[in-house]
Amino acid sequence: MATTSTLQLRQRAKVFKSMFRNKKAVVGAVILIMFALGAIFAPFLTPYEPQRQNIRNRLQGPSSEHWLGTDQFGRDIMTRILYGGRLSLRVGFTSVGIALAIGGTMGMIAGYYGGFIDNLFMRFVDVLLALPGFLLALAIVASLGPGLENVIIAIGIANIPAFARMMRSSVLTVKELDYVSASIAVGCSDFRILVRHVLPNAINPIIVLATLGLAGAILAAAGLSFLGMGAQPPTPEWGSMIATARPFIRVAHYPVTFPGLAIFFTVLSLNMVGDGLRDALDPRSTHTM
Amino acid sequence: MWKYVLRRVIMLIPVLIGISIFAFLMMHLTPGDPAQLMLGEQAPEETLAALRTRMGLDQPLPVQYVVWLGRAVRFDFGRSLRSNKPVVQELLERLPATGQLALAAVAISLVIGIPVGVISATKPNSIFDNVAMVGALAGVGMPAFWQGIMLILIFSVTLGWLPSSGRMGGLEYIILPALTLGTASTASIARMTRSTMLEVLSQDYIRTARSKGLSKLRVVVKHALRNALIPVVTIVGLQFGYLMAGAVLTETIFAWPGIGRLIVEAINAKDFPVVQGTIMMFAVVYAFINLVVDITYAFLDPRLRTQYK
Repeated sequence: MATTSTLQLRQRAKVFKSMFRNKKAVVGAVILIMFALGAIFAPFLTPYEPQRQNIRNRLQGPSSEHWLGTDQFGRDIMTRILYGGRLSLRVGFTSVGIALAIGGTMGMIAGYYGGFIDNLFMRFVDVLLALPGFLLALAIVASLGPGLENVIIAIGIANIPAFARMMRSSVLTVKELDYVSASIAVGCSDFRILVRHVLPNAINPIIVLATLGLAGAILAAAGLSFLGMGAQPPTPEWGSMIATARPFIRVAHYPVTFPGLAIFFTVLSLNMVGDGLRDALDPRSTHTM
Repeated sequence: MWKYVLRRVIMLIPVLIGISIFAFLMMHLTPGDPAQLMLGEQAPEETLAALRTRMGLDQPLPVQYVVWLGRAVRFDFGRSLRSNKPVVQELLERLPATGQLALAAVAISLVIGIPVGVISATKPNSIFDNVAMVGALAGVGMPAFWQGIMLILIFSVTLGWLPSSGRMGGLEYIILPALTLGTASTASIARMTRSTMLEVLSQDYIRTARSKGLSKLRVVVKHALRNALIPVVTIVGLQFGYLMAGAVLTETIFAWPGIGRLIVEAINAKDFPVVQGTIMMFAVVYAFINLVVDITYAFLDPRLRTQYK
């Protein structure tokens, strides 16, 4: 948008205010920012390399040199978690991006034009919904072959239905409003109406959905990598770190415990922010959940 | 009502056809020759040719699909490439274990989730409520596979109270897997119960019941809970779908011999007939659950019922 009206600015300030009053959302945002900064500045934060092995130092507990200990190959766990954060963020953002781009576009077209194309798109979405999301992603990875790229594609596809349906229902409600009819009357193109008038009104629920979707995507990707279908060792991916360190759990649990905590706090903080956003953006939900 | 049920059943047909096309295409989407993928690089040409003929891989794709679907509707997915047993037999052998695990998980989530949600709603913003809701949020974000390993670490490795894997029949074997699988559902149900309960408790008839002198406990249990549980019923139904997905990870960790572990083993071994059979079974079971949920909901919600009279 080229210009932002004062009304929109005031609305945005209100959203921020109500976000800040929500303690959970603030705590979530702080944890999230810490993880993101840690991932971005990983090379400056740690003197170790994520894949450099040091067998003599294997399976050590936390110490001043290795804050979170070392894994079965003597690699610094903290370093691997920081670098792993890069992968998780990338997987989360790209897969949600895929789902948003494809699902959102499908939902917008289906809702705006209706009729045959609506039917076609929504039946396609129904087919994707025929399996629970994680199972669908698993099945897609099974046919594409293991690898982080394929995990991103699979989770992206599995998330299409949520965005398509959300966008479609948003468009359906906005479509009937007077100012959209007015835009049609003055001869705006469909594309312009969709992008300038319909999209901004549908954006709030989409933001909430994307935030919660990010959490789900990171969780699912870690699960798939844990099953050996995502990132392959020695990649410092959180799920794969847990899987490869698991046989040593009777000797040392740190290589399993800490990557799991990293997944847990990332997903938890995203859910907290998502919940907070929903409460702030949706005036109907008065009570916080 | 019957019109609605019929409509829902008819709507299932294209969905199941769609998923069957996907299940069928799975092994053709994988780069490489399916026969070679299944038998490995070193397989001699005669064996490959035999498999191609046996599975009809030498036919054109649409023909293959129609033949495959014709068998699939009669529950014939061919034989497992590893055990050479019929796929259906493998599925049926594994099904009870997964069913048992899912039921145990649902039981846990109901027994813990509903009371926690009700207490939270009756005392909103109390310490109990805050702790419970942060706990519920944590439960939703818990990676099941990691939680399972942590439970094993605490209760099997350190304390030695419970077995870490297997399914020997005793009750002690199912506790940890069911807890792991049930955590996310427990959290969802607690959150759902709390929010619907809050809504119901703010309604006029509740105030009336209170003002005519009924005890708070009686109002909550007898008057409010009944209405609050309607949306919860549907959530419980939908949880079965998530439990099916969660079973894949949980069963892998606890070496629980169910369907979830079967599909992971089959994917790793490129045992495509078993993968296809499992996917189709998951889809049919999931569709059936959703159907039952929708019908239950229509039955409970008169507005939906009249729409299709």
